[in-house]
Amino acid sequence: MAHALPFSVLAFTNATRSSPLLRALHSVALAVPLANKTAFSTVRTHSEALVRDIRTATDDNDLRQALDVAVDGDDFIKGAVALAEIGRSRTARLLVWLMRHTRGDAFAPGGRGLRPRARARVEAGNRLFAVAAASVRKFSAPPGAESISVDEQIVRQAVRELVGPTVPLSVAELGTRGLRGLVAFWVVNELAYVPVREVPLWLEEALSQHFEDGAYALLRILASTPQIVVSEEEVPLADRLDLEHLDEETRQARDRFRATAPQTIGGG
Amino acid sequence: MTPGDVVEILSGDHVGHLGVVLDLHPNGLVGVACGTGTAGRDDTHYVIRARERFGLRMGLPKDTYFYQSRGIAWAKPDQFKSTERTAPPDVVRELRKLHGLV
Repeated sequence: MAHALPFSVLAFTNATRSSPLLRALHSVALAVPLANKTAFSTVRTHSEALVRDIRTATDDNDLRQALDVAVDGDDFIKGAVALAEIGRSRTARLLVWLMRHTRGDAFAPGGRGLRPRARARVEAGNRLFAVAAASVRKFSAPPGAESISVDEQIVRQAVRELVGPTVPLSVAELGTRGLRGLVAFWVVNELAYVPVREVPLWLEEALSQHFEDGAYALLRILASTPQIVVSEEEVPLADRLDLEHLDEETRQARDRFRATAPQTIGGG
Repeated sequence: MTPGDVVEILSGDHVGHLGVVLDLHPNGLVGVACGTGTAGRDDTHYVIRARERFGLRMGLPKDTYFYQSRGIAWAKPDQFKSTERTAPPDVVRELRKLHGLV
């Protein structure tokens, strides 16, 4: 059984793969066709809002909560949809379909301006995403997969479905970590343009750690998907999920949970 | 109403409390994890601090405890009032875990 997964992330992967996300926003904006300028502007606006909010994080717990709240917040979702608009193409549509029906992929920008440890983590995360992207590109999608539209409602719904009662908890956990990682990636890349003295070292390193962790979490989901091939060198068998078994466990848990409901409608 | 919605409970033992929708039963009932402001019960629980980001996002007026033993309020949708707010993904996961929806 397929799971709904965080495809909001994938919605902008195509754009970022060809032109690294924020570098593109900083340097390419003037060169893009008029039709894309509004989308770039929208991405820029939401990106700045995300960064403003997450930069106020005071410690690891606060940062984790900030990232989690951002995952299905307006700025991330609207920004992702605008990026999907920029990157609208056969590949982008295919990726979105994959996120709804199987697993995902991602992008690979740089972390110029980051301090060494954070930069190393971002590069590690980028490499993992490149592996994920390569494995998804080899996936042959069924008919109809490429016609899916990407809008705010559908992205928001997919993020909500990710933690819904039909998705095994371990899959939901990896998916949530993946999404947090993508928000962290977005923010840490933006921070690469902020003077070092204005960005606490712990924040830069924690964000890059979230990104690297999230990249591996998404790759684990991909590697666990039967139709997608990821080498054991990248994801050992021990890190893969038995999705069929987990689906059955989740179905049984849901049946037990529902058995606590009153038999006659109207109980409270 | 969908899983993750934050609702006010309008009937039953938990009236006036906030809860989080976890499941929609095929028989039409909605399963809601009930929160309470009462701390200190000797029971497995998950707490959300009102002044932390999760609490602010959910509009909690005070620290809110979700106890395993308080269980789930099952009722028709009209027995819950929407707050127009949603729980962050991590909160939904924690509540599912607390109530065995793994």
